[in-house]
Amino acid sequence: MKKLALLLALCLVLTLAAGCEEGDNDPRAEERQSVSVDYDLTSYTAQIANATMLDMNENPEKYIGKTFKMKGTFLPVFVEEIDRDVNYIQVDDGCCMQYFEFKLKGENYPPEESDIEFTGVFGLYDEGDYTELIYLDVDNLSVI
Amino acid sequence: MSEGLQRLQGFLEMDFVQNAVIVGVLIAFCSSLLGVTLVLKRLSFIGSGLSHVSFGTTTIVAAIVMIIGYDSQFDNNIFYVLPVTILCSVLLLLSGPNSKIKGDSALAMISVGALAVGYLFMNIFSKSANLSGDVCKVLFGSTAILTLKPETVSVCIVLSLLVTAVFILFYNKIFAITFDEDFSSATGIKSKIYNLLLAVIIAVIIVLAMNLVGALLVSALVVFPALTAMRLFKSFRAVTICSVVVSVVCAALGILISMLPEKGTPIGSTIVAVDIAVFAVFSIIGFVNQRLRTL
Amino acid sequence: MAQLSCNNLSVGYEGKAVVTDISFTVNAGDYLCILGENGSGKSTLMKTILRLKSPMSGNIESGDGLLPNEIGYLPQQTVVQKDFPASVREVVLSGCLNGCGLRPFYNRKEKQLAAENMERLGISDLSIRCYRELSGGQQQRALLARALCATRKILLLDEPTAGLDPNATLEMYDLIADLNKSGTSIIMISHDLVNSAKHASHILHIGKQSVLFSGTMSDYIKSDIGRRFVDFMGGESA
Repeated sequence: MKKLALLLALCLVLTLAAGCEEGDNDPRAEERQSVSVDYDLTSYTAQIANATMLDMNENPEKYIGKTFKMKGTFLPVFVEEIDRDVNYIQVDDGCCMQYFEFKLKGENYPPEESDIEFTGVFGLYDEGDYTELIYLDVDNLSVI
Repeated sequence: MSEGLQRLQGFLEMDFVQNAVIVGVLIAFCSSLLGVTLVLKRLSFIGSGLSHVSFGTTTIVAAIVMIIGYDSQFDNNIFYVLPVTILCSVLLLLSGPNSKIKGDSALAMISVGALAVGYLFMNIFSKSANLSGDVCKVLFGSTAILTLKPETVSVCIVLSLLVTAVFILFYNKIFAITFDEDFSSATGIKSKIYNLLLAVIIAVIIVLAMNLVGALLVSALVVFPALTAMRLFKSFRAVTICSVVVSVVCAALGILISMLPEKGTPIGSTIVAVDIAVFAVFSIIGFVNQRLRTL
Repeated sequence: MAQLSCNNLSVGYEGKAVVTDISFTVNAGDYLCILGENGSGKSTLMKTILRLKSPMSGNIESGDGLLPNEIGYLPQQTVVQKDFPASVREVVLSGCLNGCGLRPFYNRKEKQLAAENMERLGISDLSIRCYRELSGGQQQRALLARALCATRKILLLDEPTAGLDPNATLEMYDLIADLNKSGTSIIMISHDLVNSAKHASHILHIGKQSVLFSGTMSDYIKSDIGRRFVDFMGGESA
């Protein structure tokens, strides 16, 4: 019994020590950025990025209005039924490819298959027969 | 380092990460309860054998579904995989203590057979672009734990509570049939029924644990905490409690650590790595303890 | 009415009979010693009596108020047990399990019984020690205490002195004799006629495939087979 108590105490101390590390940097780091990003997919581990993107598709309501930072390949796809290009960013999360439509302000889209990175706001829209389509509202993107 | 921790804090606010931690801890809790019994019954590899069966079942069921034409994502559908795993667990565990050798070879045959058939079916029927990635995921359980549906989380919670309740209620019986099944039977205990109960619980746990660490590492998850506890503790009760504490702490640590590095590490293997590290530490402490006592 | 009687019992496994036509009775307070060489089927017989194996033919009757779960058993130790992480108290208490039914915990009476039996066998001070750290003799005494928790009426012991040093062996025989004197019937498998002769009241001597002798100790010593065995063992006759 005594040994058990000792071990539990040790675990507790280690957890407290780990928790005591940070907490101050938060507000300052956020202030330094001009736009606060809710979900910076470029900084996530592959598994978390993959899980986040799957969740965005499964439960889009949670993410409406949130800001995402993404990196990937620009792939416009011409869809006959609506007679326009649908602009996708193809994100490789290490296991599979995920595709998200985005709408760029000013419509100054880069060449096909360029590597791009942007920050955008998640939203839903309706078009034709389809409702609640996912897209990202992007002010500007950079080609890398 | 501080950035990593900051990022970790962000991750822990995501609901699917929270679900992963909850389910991970619950699975670790339940599997360590049975780990002590399994290790002592010299059936350490039953975890491995049964999870191979689960792997085979999952893919066979998925293949059948694909042939029929549904386009559903077959993520470890518990209602199909569980009954088959329970059946195999029962058959294997009931080969009894006197036919231990037969049990081991039966286990080897079923486990390798299921693995082979599972892999074969996946190759024939899978339309996925990344087949080896899929197989790898089932064997080593990567993102399944992060993409759990809310229903799966609820099922896990309920099953864990059930397993814990059964374990507590039947604790004395489990001890008796693990320590000495012959004596228990001779003095009127219905050993066969309790063995059956154990078999069912083990099957349930293994199917759940496959989500966390994948088919190949289930053995490790079940066995290492028990072995760790036995390095230091002397009574069955203390060993069981320690095994549970170690398992839960290692699972939590494993999940957290896997999210620290830049690219992240696979969750299942990280948990097992932490288990091994803790085992090493306990072994050293136990060894030193022993030496000090004989001085 | 005898506590236990076997009539024309044949025991074996996997379809092969190891010993045939066994008949004997055990009354309350008897001390039956089962003798025979290795492989003659003594353990199989004991397991059959305990209903761990089914008899190939013949029957076993219990009477004199002996209920199926009132049999205490001291089996030969398995590999698992020698290494088992359990305290002596946990091991001894597990003998009380047959009285628990579906009740998940031991009550005070049972815990007291365990303590008494440990006291009886002189292992109270080992109560919280780890079973695997005990000597062979201490382990056997713990298992005997466990058997006593299961019942006080009849004890079946399978080579209780196997692997014990001479001192521990004598102590074990004395302990068992004391139990017998206080009313517990004993059925014991043994190699050792010399020590058994001091205490046993009945003998069942099993040879290859058949029973060589079944009856009282005094008859045994006078019989041919008894005398041959005694001479072979170089022991004393009564």
